[in-house]
Amino acid sequence: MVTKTTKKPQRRDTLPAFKQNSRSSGKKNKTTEERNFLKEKKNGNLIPKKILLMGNPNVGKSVIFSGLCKKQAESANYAGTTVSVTQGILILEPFSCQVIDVPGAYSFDPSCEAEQIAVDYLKQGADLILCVLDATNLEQSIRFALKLMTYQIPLIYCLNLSDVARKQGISIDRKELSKTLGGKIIETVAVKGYGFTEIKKEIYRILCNNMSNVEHKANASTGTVSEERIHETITNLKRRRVLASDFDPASPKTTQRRLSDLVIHPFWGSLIAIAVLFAAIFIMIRGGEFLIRYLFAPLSEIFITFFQNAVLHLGLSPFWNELLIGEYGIFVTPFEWILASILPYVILFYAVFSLLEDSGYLPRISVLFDNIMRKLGLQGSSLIPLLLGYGCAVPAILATRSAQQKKERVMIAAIICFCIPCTSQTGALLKLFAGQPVWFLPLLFLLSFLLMIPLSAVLRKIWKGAPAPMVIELPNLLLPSPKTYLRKLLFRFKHFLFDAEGPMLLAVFLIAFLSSSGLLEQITSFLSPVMEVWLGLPKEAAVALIAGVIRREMSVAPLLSLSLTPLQIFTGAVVSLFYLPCLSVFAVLVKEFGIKTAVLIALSTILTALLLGGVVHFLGALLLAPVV
Amino acid sequence: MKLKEGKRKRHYQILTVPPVPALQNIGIYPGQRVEVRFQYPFSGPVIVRIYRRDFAIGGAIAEQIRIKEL
Repeated sequence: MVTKTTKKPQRRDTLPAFKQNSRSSGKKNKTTEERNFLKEKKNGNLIPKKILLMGNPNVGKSVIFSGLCKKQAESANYAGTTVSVTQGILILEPFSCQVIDVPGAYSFDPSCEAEQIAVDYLKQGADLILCVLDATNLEQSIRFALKLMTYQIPLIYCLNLSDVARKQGISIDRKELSKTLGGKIIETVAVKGYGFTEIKKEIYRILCNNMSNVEHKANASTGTVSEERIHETITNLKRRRVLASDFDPASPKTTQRRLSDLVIHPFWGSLIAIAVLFAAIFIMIRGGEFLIRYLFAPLSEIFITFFQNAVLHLGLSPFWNELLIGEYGIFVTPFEWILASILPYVILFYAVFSLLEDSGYLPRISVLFDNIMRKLGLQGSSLIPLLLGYGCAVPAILATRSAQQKKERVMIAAIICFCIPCTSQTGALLKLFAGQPVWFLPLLFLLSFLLMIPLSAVLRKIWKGAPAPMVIELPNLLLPSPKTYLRKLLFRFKHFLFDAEGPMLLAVFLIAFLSSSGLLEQITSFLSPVMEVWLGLPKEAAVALIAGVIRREMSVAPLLSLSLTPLQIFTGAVVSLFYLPCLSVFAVLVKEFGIKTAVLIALSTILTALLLGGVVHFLGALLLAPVV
Repeated sequence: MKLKEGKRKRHYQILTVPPVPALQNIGIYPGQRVEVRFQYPFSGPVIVRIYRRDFAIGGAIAEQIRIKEL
């Protein structure tokens, strides 16, 4: 999981001088000895060091992390993207620095799970803290830095977003600020990769100066600094004009400002939000169809034909032929289902969603929808994990960590599991609905929205109390930098291929095995009362229920190869939509909320799915009866 | 008066805030000057601006923040 940088920004001849008394007392304090020591270490093992990357939420820590470690961390333009800890290695010979991307915090008096993680890491101690300041919001950053200073760990400050600040007409006296904060201040524009070399140089310098202290342990009593002290420091900085005062009548009316006001306007903003969501759906559906027709379907055809010819050429027994290239063969289904029906939608979803994320638009949508979300017993900010759920439920459930209450976390997770199909599943559903009436998909989604109402009512019975009130900062609206955007897309795409498709291939293999060994026949006969009588589906559709446990889209995919009536198709879609998400989601539920909650959610999703499927079947049959 | 009652495009000074950690965390303190940008209907959120930064504050909390007009 660890990537190593090949960059060596320091050459021998630029080695900074070492302090005379930088080593512990037992050894001679000579610079030459230091050099020899370093040289020795260089040939052998590197000296391990620990660096914490910290700051307020949404100041760009993860982008700086990705730049330093050449390893991608999830990032977006809103608070709370990093909810778990990512680690990477930065090699600055002779040091091997373990860089930890700590979730953003505002204080060390934890009000949510993500902040608790930050506090825990600080308590473990580190050699150096890289504190990221937001140049456009320096006052808040300074409050954080002042609290961080009490931990007595060497600090380097990255003054990030310095380009945006300059555009807004904010100028910062770095020398004065450095005096107050007790550490070097480096201007950075993380998304453009500006300032990284200087950061590495400074890290190197500080690590060399602190050879003696193996690890700075944080005192138990630290982390608290009185409000008066913070207030005094900030007033002082304002008096010396290092910080601008609160009141700024001459704030320039830029295009960005106007746009920012327009999209948050209660009326116009709502219209724009609806238009944006529709545009996003349109791009995903139409774009997906286009990609499949002209790129992915022909591609999968080529692969399948190639493997079929190759396998037939080998002249294997019928068992092996069935297993490899049969109807559910190992060399057939991955291409037909993954490549030609799911992958294009996954790519498009992340392309659109990442754009919304990085522009800073998502928090604005969540404000606009706050009124509706409160009716569900949630608050506006919970909309972001729900929207993420349309991509994949796993990151969506992790994203609930930034919620302030446990109750809210479980509620969001349950709604995601019950009502929200992931991209893979949506892709499979789209394929299933091809050639069916166009209102099938909207009707299905309407059903899923409607189910949220009774579901949230039940959940509110279990966990009482008002939802935590919304208090969020609206990030600057930014045009995402193409480089960061593409890197992020690539990261998510890779993640999907390796992490999500592993279980999917497992499901494919399982079906291939069951089908070629004849076991499938027995299972389907066993489940046939449920399938045929209650759901009105052919008994072969039971494959969907078995495979659906492993991967969500697999509860749809097996239906594709059966010839079904429109009613059967819709029933199948309903069952699969409300069915258990998938094994990975189950694992995340166990990890986050414990086995009891996870099993409860899993069982109730399966029951709801079968119940609703039956209702749809009988209602549909009743409505269609006079026609038939 | 309450923040929820603040008029659009007017400037106010915050007098008291309820003891909600989330408010302190994002930097909303008594004494600050705020401009009310938008008031959402149906006791929805209030959008305020504090030195070029925009915040959305849920209606329930905005009811508990006391302000005076400048």
